[in-house]
Amino acid sequence: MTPAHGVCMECKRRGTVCVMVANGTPCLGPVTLAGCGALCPAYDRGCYGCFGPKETPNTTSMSAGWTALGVTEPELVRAFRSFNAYAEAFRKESEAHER
Amino acid sequence: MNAKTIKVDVLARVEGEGGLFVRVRDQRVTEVKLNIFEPPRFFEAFLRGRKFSEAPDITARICGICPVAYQMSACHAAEDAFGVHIEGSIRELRRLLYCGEWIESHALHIYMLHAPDFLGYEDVIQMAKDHPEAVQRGLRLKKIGNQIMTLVGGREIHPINVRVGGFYKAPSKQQLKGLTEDLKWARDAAVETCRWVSTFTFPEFQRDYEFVALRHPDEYPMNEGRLVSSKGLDIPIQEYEQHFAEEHHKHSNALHSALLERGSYFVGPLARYNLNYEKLTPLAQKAARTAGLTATCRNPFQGILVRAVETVYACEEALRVIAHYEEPDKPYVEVTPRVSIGHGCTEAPRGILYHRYRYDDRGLISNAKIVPPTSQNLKTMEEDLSEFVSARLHLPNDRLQWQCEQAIRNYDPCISCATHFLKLRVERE
Repeated sequence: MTPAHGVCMECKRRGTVCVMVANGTPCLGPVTLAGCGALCPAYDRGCYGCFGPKETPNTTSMSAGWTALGVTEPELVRAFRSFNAYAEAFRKESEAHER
Repeated sequence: MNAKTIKVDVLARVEGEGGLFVRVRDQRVTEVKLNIFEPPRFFEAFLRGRKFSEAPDITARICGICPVAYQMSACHAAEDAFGVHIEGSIRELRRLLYCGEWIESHALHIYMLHAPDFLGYEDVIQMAKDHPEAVQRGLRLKKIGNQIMTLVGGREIHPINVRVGGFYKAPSKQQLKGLTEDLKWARDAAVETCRWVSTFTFPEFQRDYEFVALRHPDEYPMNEGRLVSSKGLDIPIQEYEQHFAEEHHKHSNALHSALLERGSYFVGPLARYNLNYEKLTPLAQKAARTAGLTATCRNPFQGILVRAVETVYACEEALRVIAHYEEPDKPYVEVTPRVSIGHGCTEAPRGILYHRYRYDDRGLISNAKIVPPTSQNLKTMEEDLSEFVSARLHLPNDRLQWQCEQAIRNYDPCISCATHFLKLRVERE
């Protein structure tokens, strides 16, 4: 069974220091479904959302966090529009940054 | 009426969806088609407007068996475009990761997909009843290839640790050393695989193939080299499209690639072996000789043997990289995008995989072209079938169909890649 929580939880359990907070690396972990074991942050890179949105993801807040790190609107669109581009939460968020 | 049809609607033991159709009339093969009905996958279009850095993650998804090949060709294309050349430990780590993929992919094909053809089983599950030791050896061999990919790449399928310029994180010396014992077992198991496979019966068959592979002055080719052929081609990979072109055929959702000058050609283990035999390690060469091979092998049915030889090589090469590995100061080299075109061509387990990208000033991909190994072998596979069936019309249909399927599996086709294939039909009228 795929858990309902996000990748962040798996980083905490695994003991991986948050790449977004500690290194300023944009990471989709806060809004992405767990199940991979939080692989990408363990390899010093941000999650790229390949498991799709978790339950009740706060994509708006996460995008604000990314923007604060200097991520541009087109980059946000691409981040949400990859392997799960049509999953509702990701689709809406990518569209919001296209306007 | 002296006619028949050999028809396989859905070919088993190949990666992807395809079928095979042969029509025979008056003791002549009149039609051969590899029907590739796996739907087109549009990856080249997905890549438009994406950043150069996304290509390794996106293109890896084209294949679950050879994702590293896609990642390597994508990275090398970007590095070619942006004027970066990767050397030292990072280059060695890439080679190690590729060894992992060659081991897992070759073990899968030798033991699970192709050996049942030679030993007369429907599949490896049936085969396991009578050959439990061999199947267990194959599975463990595959697992060790996977272990390399997991350690260096983050996971065995669709690794996450590869980036343009190198890796996100380099493994420690200690972590790599941990693979040594398993790899020594794998090397010996690969030598045993050569011996085991050499006891199979190989149909007598060969044609005047043009073998195409990379060639590198110092090593058996994986990531780098010039593109050479057994009929005199010798070009830098940047000139690929001046010599090779893809064409569409109605019966195939995979494009057929051809040499503009001479038509069909042959990529994969046999091509690499014939063009680079002298670069194999002494142990791999010895395993080849013991198995009855010389420096040239033109029988595609013996491809399974050459895969086993390459597996010996890949295990030894992985051991060499691990023994000499020093952690790099930084796991990647920074790249700065510019308006440019980049070419990447690397040796996937089943043959050369070509990528070409056009980038804009922000490093966004405006155009992408990907030519997987299977689309380069399709023409040769159809020609093989035509000649193979012509010489074996006396065989009963079930036997003929069996051998036709086997002839297709010689190429370890990855239809999912090529559509970016298999059913057999022989129609005797």
